[in-house]
Amino acid sequence: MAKTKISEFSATPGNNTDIDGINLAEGCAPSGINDAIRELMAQLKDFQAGTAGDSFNGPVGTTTAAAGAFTTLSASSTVSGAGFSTYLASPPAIGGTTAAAGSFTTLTTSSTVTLSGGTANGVAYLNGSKVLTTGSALTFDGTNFGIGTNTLTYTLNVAAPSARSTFTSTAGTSSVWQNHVNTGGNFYIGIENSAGTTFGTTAYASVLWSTGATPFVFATSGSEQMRLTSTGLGIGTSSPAYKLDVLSTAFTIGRFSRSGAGGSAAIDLVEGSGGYVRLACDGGTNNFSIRPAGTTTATFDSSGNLGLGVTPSAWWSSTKAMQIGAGGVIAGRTDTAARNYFASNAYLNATPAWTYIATNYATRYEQNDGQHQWYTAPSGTAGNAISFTQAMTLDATGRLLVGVTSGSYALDVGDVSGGNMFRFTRSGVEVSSFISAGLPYFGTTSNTDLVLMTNSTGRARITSGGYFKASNNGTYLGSTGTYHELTASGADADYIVNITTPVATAANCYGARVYYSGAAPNGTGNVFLSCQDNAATRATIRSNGGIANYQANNVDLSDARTKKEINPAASMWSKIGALEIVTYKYNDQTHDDVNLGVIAQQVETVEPVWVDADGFGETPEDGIPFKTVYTKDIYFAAIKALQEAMKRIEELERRLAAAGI
Amino acid sequence: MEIIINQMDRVAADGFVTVVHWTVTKTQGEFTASQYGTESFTEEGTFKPFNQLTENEVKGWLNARWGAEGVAAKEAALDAQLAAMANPPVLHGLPWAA
Repeated sequence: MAKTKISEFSATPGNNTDIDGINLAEGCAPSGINDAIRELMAQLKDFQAGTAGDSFNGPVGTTTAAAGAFTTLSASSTVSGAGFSTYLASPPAIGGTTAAAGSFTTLTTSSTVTLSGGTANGVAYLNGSKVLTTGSALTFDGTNFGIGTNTLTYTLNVAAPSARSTFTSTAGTSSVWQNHVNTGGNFYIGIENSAGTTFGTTAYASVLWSTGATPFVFATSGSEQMRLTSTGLGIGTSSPAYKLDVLSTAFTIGRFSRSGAGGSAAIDLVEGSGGYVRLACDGGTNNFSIRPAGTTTATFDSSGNLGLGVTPSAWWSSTKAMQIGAGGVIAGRTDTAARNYFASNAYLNATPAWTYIATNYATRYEQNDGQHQWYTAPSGTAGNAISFTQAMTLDATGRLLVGVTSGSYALDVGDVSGGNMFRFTRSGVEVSSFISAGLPYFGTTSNTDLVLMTNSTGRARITSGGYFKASNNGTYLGSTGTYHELTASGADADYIVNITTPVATAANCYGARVYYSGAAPNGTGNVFLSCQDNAATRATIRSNGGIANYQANNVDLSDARTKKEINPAASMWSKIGALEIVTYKYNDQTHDDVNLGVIAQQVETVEPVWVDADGFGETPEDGIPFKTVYTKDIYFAAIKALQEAMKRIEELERRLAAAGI
Repeated sequence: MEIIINQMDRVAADGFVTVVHWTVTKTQGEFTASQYGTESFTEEGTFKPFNQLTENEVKGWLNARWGAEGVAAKEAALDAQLAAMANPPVLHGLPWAA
């Protein structure tokens, strides 16, 4: 059957073998093709015009109409259909306030749509009642957008009694941010995602993120207050040079506080390997402490005292002190510049009074008004008052005073315990001084000599055995000999020992004595004085009182210039003749030899002037001094008597010769 | 009002000063108020070698940048600070704490 309209066409191409009888089967004549196309165009026109009787089975009749730019809808007969017929039965009044309901999916106009009502710049929206609405709450002037305002100063303007905005991740785990962009870079305000990968931070971190090499600036009252740069955070400075750089015109630049009463507050300074020093304000005390690795090593108390390894004691208010360890103290006064203290186990309490820090000994050194003062004290109980003794002083003139607090010597050692005054020791040898039984001792307790020195040379010594030796050149006849020695090598001296009694009263003039106090050798040995040279002994005074020398050398002063009232001596004939020459022995004589001589008392009866009654040695118990005789006078009296005898002999010889005998 | 030049940032290659860090201060009795900030400059300006710049020249840059109005604003801000220091509008403290 010839296909005369579109409804007779087949959806299978092979079945469309003709159109309105014109052959289109495989192998048809080419001349029929143009006729077939013309017939197809005619059938399409009939379909469009609806004259072929075919129905349209496309979108029409469904709920969604195909998009189109229809400007005119017309029908050749009645249009009907579900819903559509209702609308057509009661069509809206065009130009009214309420449009009819419809299922429009596309509204197309051929030109600008203008609404005569609403708010200029108002953005139309469906309100809660789905009424298309405009107003000043949501505005857009083509450039700037306003929420809550129609004052469109900036690109986005938001105004409300409590203006707020929220950006919410509906996924929950994604990042949320705002980005601010200009040629300086991007600045983000947001929250990191759950993986911390949006900004490369930490999961859900709150982020202020700038990609530009520019600072974050914080300002209040129109003035910059803080700045974060790539170098650090500056507060009060726009150019921080450190990670935290704070600058202020106020004295107090910053504060770290701990809430609650009595709690300590601290900050830590941590070095690269984790070691740290904690700086703390100790709770309830206002003390400042330094705590390396958390352990307190130094404490400044609120009075300005410093404790190293210890909390400072409660010092007197006029003192600033540094306490070191268990008892070390260095302190200075605030009321005078001339008094400072160095002490052990002692501090000045509020009284002020020196007080034991711990139960132990206490010592103190002061620099006090030009003096250096050393004090000692016995062991005492912590908290008790200390009774110090000023043991040593170096006064302002440079005198060192030991055991006394004032003195007039460069070294002045006073009443020290036990009477020991000083001692110097080296290699087991010492020199010392002490006072015993009221007598001062100076020397050495060592078994050694004690040497006196001048001009760097030993000039005298007391040997360990107690022998005194003096030598001008330090050379002795016997430095270890058990005798006292005086040695002089001076070439221009008349004597090496000079015993002088400068007193003006003759009665008080005395000389030297050799005294055998323990025995009486009383012989020719054990001499009192021995006079020797390098060849021989020239003279001795023997222990028996005898003088032994080279006799021919004895002389008496006899020069006429030394004498006066020179007269011939009277006759000594009878006096010599009256002398009783006796033999005798001394009471203490140690030998048995018989002595020849006179007895003073008998001589005194002959010639008193030949006897001296002033004594010899100690006066015997009867109170009468021993008497001596002037033997030289008796000697010359004997010569006088001999001369008289010679004259008599010569006279007798002359007479005998005259008598021829 | 005193202007203090705290610091200047410059381009290492040519020494052009790009940022001037400034502080303005004003003292009244025991109180001193201050405000600080920065002014940025681009290389479009007249160049003078860094080591030949003087403090007064840089202060002149700031005054020119601020203008009379800007200077007056800073004066007003400092005066407000001083007034607040002399008569603090908000006081801090605890009545039971010494």
